[in-house]
Amino acid sequence: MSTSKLFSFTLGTLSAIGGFIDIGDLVADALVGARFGLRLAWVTVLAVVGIMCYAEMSGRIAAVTKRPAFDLARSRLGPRYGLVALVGAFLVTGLLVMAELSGIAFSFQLLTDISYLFWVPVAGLVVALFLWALPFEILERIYGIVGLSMLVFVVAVWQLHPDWGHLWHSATTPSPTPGETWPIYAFLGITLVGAQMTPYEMFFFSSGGVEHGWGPRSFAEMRTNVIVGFPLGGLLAIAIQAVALVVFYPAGIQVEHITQTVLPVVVALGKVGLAFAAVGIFAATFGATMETLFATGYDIAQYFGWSYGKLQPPAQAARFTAVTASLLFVSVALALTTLNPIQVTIVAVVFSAMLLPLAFLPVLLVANDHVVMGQYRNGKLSNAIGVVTLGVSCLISVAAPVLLVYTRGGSG
Amino acid sequence: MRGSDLLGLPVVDVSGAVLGPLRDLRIDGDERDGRLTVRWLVVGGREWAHRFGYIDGRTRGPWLLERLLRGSSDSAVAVAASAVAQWGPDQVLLSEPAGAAAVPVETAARTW
Amino acid sequence: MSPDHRSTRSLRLDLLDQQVLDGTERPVGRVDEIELEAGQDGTLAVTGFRLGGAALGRRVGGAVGHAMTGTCRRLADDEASPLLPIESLKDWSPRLTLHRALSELPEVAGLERWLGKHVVSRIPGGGDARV
Repeated sequence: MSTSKLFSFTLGTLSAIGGFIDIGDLVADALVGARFGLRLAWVTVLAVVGIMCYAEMSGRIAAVTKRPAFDLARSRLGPRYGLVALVGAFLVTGLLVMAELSGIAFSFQLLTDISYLFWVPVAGLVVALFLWALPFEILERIYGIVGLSMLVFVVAVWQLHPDWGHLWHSATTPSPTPGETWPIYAFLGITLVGAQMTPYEMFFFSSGGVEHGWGPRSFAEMRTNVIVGFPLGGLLAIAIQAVALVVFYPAGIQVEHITQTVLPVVVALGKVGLAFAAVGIFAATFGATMETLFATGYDIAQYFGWSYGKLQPPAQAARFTAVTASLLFVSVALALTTLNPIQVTIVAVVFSAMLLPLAFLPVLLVANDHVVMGQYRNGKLSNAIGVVTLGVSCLISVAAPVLLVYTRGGSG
Repeated sequence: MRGSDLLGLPVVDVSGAVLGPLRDLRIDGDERDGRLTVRWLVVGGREWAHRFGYIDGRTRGPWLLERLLRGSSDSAVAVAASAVAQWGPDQVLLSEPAGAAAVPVETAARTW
Repeated sequence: MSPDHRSTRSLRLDLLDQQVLDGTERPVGRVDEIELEAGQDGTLAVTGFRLGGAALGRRVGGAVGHAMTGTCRRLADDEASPLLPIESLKDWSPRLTLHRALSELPEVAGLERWLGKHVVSRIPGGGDARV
């Protein structure tokens, strides 16, 4: 098996890592694990199923038509609603880029003890250099593989020798823990969905497919990416919830700071664990920065019809390059304002959850278009899961702002 | 005239009855002289049902979505471009009565 | 005919808002507007299309659209979103493709050309803006 085939799953892994274990998820999973144990793990399972369905659809569409997911948004929603989707996606992903940059800076802080604020511009510069100099596939492979060191969280679960019966009971009890209320349970469930089933995973995955030159013969490769990447992301997310349950819940510790998220790994595996976690977080947040940054650049370029991505030299995708660079710059500036990345992330993922229907609907429609897809259109299974996921995302879209206010961001 | 100005104009038959808003145009690419000629008008029906391709017939399903968007009745009709007497600026005027000019979309679609 | 094999195209689903590629298959913009003209015999035909923010802004409408149109007009040397005659189109299925490359279409995507030549290609590793 050639190396390129062996690593052909890295796009999926990267998309999933950026979507399921970036800094936002790290915090959300640790927070949820500390307060609710594994009682929201079912939400992660559903998010995995939903995003796999839409990633496969958008990947299939990209392979058949060379049109990535955001291209479809303007085509089916029209210029006005397409612009609404664009502005929404831009705001959400823009905030997330800022949070992810803080995440990279934080992983440097873990290793050096120097405040993350110092590292933010360094992180911005490193990101800019890497994204400028390296081809898409190399970037994808580096972060797709190094990000796997986040598996240390799975190892940590084992090392903590938990009461497995207790974990199982927690996972199979879909209700708030004693002392917590249903609105907060629902709100944190929505936060998890917003953090894990994010449209940018789909935008990035499908655009990455175009960058890879997927065609109708690439379905096996595309599906391998989906099947390997996203469940892995879900597994890692649940592992983070589990270690937070084991370490934080009995002591009643609330997760309020980024530094707390790796504590369980340190408890389980000491300095070695910390090193793996730092590397993993660096790779995951770097991958997520690349993903969110490019996804925003892709969205803007695809709305206006510009050339995009790394298939050609940057000077031949000049508008895309300029926009992406500007966004990185603005995110560095935002991160330096010492806005708390956790609070920014919570707001960003809640709004992301609200945008899900606008992102999913065009994909579902085009996947059922006989003229565009022909024999490759959706079968019954894709449609069934697709409609259910869309319906759930519509409910979430309505419930999220209500609960955000009602629970005062989960603290009420 | 602009395509986006045409879309949405009321289509009126020779007696002054309004068939509905102009929702779409079917365009033919004539290989011989490179012209793209308008052959059919698609009139009436919900805007979003058109936008998503349900009236056109190209998007089929998912069932629930199609039912919600298309509604239980379909008021869209097709009119041959040859029946048009005047294109715009405020309306599209036909040279025939609605009964003669309008055909169901499915029937017209067979020639598309 | 089954929808998979039609010879006619829908204005709103196949033409308006669709991606346009140049002669080298490079994305240059979207169909932001379509121009039609009634001929002597009364038939209406597509005479050309417009790419660019000025035309798009008009369709988006409202304050945002107005700002879009205004910005593009200010940025453009000559006419913003000029009419590309229908003869420039090589193919319309499966994707809208032009005959000529972007470098031979001075009226289209001015911002791309400007940024490419004056900014991005000047940075080491930026590559060549000309195709």
